[in-house]
Amino acid sequence: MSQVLQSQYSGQRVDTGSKWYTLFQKGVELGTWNVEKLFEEIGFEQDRESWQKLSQDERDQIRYLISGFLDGEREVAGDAATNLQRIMGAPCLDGNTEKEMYMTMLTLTEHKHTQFLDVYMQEVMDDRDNYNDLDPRRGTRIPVVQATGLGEVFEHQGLLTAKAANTLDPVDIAKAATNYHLNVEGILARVGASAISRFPERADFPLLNYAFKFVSTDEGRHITHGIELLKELIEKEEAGNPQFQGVKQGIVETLYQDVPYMADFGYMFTDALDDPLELDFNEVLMRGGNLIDGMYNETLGLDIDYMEVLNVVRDRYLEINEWDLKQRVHEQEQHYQRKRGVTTDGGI
Amino acid sequence: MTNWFPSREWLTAYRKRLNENETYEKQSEGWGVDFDGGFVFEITDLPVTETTIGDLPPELSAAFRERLESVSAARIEELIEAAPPELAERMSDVAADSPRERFITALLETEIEDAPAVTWPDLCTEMPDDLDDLLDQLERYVHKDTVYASIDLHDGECRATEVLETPPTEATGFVLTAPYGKWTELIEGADVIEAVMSQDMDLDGDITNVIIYPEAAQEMGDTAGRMETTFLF
Repeated sequence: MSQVLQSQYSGQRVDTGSKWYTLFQKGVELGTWNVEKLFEEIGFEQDRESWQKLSQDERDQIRYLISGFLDGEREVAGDAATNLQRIMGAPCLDGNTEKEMYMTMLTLTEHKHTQFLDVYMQEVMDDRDNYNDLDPRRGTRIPVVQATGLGEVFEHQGLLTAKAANTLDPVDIAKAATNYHLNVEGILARVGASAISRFPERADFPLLNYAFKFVSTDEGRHITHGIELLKELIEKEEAGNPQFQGVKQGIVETLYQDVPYMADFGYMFTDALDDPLELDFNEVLMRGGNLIDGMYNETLGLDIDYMEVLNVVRDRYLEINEWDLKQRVHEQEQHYQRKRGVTTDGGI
Repeated sequence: MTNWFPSREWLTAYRKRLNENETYEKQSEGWGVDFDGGFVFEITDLPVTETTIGDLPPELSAAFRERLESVSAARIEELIEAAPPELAERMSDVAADSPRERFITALLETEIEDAPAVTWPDLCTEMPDDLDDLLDQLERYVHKDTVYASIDLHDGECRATEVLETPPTEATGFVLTAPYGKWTELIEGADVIEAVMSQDMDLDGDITNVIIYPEAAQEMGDTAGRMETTFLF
């Protein structure tokens, strides 16, 4: 972390020299972009016009990708506000105060991402993925997310963060941070944002692209937080502290558990739809692989078994390759419609 | 010939080793049947501009020097007289007492890239056979600083290998590209999948096929790693 951003001040209760204090300050400085002001300044017109010009297949491709983000952002925002906030106070962690301060900033930005995507989809796209009446807070994910492995990753996130918040055990915290900060934010979100950054090659979405520059900057700080948190846990394990034994194994196992479903996400917005916007599943996979190596091997110094990674991805790929994704999404939509019907007529 | 890398002979030996490898055969059954399973290995950044003939391994450079030091004065005089202008110019820049030493030093201080301009058939008869052959291969196969080799893989078999005299113009299933130094690491045992993941090597092609055959990809790398190889640079 840059020394020039170190605080010139010192306090009594807050360690202003802490990495997390610096991250908090960065969040205060850089994370305060105003979603509504962005709507006012850039407007929806060009994005709407571009959307209208797309073919249905192209729209589906963008809709699937953005849907993944909307559900993802809502899930991470919810978990940050509840489970992660509590985890930051875990006795096994250093600098609880500064970590808790930073988590408020992370939570704020995740809610802003949800705010942006929710309004953007409503204003620019069609109403097809709006199942708000079925209460997304209690598991009604957008059909394509629920019908694919992306839903599994988010489900895993909820389970891992809830468990860690309950036990405050270092290994549980490591698993939760791995899923949340490395797999969801560090790989899924970055791979997805990279695909979105390529939309201008085919269609002009100035509001979406501008907002995603802010989103990506915010996510960068979140990933830094996750990496630093995991480094702290790994250092304590390597120092021989009995409570921390199993941290590294927990991190690696969480990757192996999530990675097939993460590859699923790439497939769902590319080859499953014949990739009309040429977002290129190969490129998505390579980008994901590079990010795994960068975070797990190079930054955290872990020894990832790539054969294990490829084997679990292969098994899942062979499975989903047999799917008719549009049919699966349709079935999920029908399921929601049935629920909606019961909701409307009171279950009679 | 010693198994020099990179060379046509190394590639031929690699093919033989792959075809003798039952694990590879088993793991790559079906590879290339419904898709183009061919590879081009693109070895970039060969140090042909920084490496001189004298910098090559002693089996080549020292043996060449020894040979030139031991031939008769008449033979050296004959060679000096036949030297091409490029070599004569280089000799004039060498500060040494004897014409023989100026001749040897000028030759050995010539960069590999410029070797064709200072060598001729009669001189080549004084070279160790491997050096003569390798300089010829470098002249034929190195394009700027890159060598291209094609590997035809199909259903568990390596059907053919070829060092390409010109850069490939037709699309092939997969292109594996890396600087020479990364290829040497691979041959010394580095993990090919990790090398691709870490972007030390660049793999261009349908990655989903590699995902379906990860063990075959690994075995291809491991087979190279098990070969007895002597590096040219």
